[in-house]
Amino acid sequence: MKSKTHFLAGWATLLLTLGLLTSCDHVLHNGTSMAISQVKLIGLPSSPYAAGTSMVFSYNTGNGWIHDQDSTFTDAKYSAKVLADGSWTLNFSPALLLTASQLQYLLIDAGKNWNTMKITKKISGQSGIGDDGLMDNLWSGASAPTSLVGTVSGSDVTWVWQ
Amino acid sequence: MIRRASLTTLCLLMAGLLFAEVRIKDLDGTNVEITFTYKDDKASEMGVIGSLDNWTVPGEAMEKNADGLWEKTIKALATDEIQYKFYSKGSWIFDEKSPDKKDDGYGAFNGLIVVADILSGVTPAVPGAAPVTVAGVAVVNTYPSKLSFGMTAVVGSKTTFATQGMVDKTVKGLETDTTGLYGRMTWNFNGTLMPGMTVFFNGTAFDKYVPLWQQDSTGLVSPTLDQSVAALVSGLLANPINYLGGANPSLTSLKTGIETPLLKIETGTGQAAPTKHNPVLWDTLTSTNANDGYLRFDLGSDLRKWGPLTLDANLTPNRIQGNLAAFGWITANVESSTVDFTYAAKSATSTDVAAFFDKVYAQDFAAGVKSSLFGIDLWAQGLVNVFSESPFDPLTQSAGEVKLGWNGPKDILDVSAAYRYTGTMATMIFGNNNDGTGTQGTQRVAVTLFSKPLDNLKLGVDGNGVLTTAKLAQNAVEFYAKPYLELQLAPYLGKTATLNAYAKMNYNLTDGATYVEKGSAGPFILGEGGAKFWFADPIPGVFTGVDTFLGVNNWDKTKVFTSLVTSWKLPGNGEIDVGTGLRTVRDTAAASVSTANNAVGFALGGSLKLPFPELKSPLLYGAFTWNMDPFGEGYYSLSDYITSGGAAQSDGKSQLRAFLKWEF
Repeated sequence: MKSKTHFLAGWATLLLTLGLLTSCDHVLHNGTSMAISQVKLIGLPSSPYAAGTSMVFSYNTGNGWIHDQDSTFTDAKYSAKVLADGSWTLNFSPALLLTASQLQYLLIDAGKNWNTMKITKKISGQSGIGDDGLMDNLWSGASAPTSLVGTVSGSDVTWVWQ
Repeated sequence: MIRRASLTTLCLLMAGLLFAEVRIKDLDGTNVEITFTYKDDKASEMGVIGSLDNWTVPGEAMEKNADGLWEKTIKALATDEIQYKFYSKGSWIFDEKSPDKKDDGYGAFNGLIVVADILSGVTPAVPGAAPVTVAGVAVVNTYPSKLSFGMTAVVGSKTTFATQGMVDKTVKGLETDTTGLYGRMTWNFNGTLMPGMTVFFNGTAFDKYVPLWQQDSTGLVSPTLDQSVAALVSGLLANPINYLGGANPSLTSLKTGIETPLLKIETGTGQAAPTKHNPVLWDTLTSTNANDGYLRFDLGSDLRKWGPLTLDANLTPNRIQGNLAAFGWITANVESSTVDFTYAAKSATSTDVAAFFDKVYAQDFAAGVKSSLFGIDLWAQGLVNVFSESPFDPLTQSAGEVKLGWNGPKDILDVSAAYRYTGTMATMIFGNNNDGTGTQGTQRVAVTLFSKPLDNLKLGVDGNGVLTTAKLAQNAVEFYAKPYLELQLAPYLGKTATLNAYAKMNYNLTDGATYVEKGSAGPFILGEGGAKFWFADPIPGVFTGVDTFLGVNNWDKTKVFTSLVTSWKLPGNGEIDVGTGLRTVRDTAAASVSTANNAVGFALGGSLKLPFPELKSPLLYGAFTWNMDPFGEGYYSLSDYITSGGAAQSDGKSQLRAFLKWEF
């Protein structure tokens, strides 16, 4: 039994060692960062996105959605209200620094009625079907903050970096 | 000696109902024969699928016996534990009369045969049934109490690598992203607590990957190895459940319940999922996670049977995204006819139960019926939504589908046709909107047909046309077709061998439409094609069979990925998998895509039952992947016969992983 225990411990150690010894260099991990100073949405229909509705910007850089923490829904940093002209703007100050290679994001109703009020990559005003937004990190560095702007047309949303 | 593990006396008395039975014949104390029997007069094909064939679709083909029952006999060992389902035309059928059952990880159950238990008479058959005598051997098949405990544990390590630069993708190499340990442990406890009352408990103690060393895209290392080792040692010593289960040391998944003749009660939370409900056409309840919890009440067995009528009623209060909600249904079944009504509601209140209906803002009313008339199968399902914040509009807040099907003698032709309407606001709170109500604002006509012109050849096609209602003037109709074939090659090769092939294509009639986002400049795209070749006993005694998958993924805008994966089956549920892939860049792609392309992918994986009977012969499985990954976290995980995730899947990434899994 002892030899079997050694065997099991042995392969786990071997694989971990292989993983570490293969290369821990930074030649390939040569990203810098990107700073997001603003997320903006225009053209929101008044129904169901009535003026005054609070929407939350949530994102996932590979370590889970920030909205998994309930505090996200009450943190003013991630929340803004829909204006009467159908726009919604969230300013990050300081800018939100992104070092992951991609940003996955969505906008959800702060009242958690997001089965009917959720904005993803392509879909607005519907339940949770459709892909979440996904943007590549442009690696422009923290000195060049960018804006993420979505334009709603019907139930479609077009997102661009600006 | 034949012992009946599942006696379905009741079903035998009720002609026309489904019937299933498992018989085990002890050959020599070491080897056994297991015979599966299943009754379904309408099915044109049936298979038994499970751990006995590594869950390879369509399973081991069953044949009709002299009694008109589907039957299949397999060889097994007296020490085997076999999980299984029946499989027919894409439907996975749980054997309600299986000797035992096990959570299948998808919100439903697999049948479970613990051969040794059955041979020793431990496993009960139908509670309350009289002892059975088969071949002169008395079999005790009723037990006042049986409580069993099971555990599944997985431990292993996983290292992920980058094979190209994060910014300058023309730089190639192999660098560690992260390396760490993975662990998962589930506990299962079920059985007869007292006569007439069964209980079960399924829980996941932890299910977590713990990185021991990790660097982000900028090269910042966190955690470092010394930090992780310190946390690992202290965590495992002082509070392992907290360390492995997260800051909140709660079970990540918990489902438990009791069943009496009058009532079944079940509750779950975390990643536990209630069993899905698909009474007619749609999943009106999917088996998604129940993160915020639910409490489910179902009728017990005594209240479900009313002569030829089977009645199923359910009520499930629950909480989603912090708010209170509920669903429930009544389903009546007489022979092959079913009527169902499902209701679901979501409220704006999170705690005030008394105000639930005052603050309801979304409700679903779904009804469905299925039956047969003059040899034609009929399905009809409808849905109406009510939203408190908007006036009711039946055109936008409803969905419906009608389907007709006919199966000709000897499968010379099997055809079905369906029409589905989906309003622009139609949605199910707990249902599967993609496969159920469909895309909002569309109408769909779907046709499936297949034929067996020869005994060993099956040809078919699944197709549909989807009209975007609001864009009728722009001819906004998109067609989809999947032709396929299945050819049994045993008559020509002398061994069991099967060739399957298919293709998927889209055509868009919309004015000016193209599939440029998928790499086609025109309105047509042949997006995918694949072939699978199964050959049994390629090297007798060494490999029991080999599966070969060839797939071309043509859905991506800039790249095409062609993969070839072979899976060599070893005796005793082991396998060796080898895959390679070629990633080519379209002419229309930017030059930078070509210079950064990772043209070649490679994967080597497999599984092996370790010869440690003290540890219940644990399963060792793992893989090394390079710029492709046909395995997922376990064995090969293909989408049809192509790698899932498109041409970009694992592009520029690599993994080395190995896991050990054992079950008690």
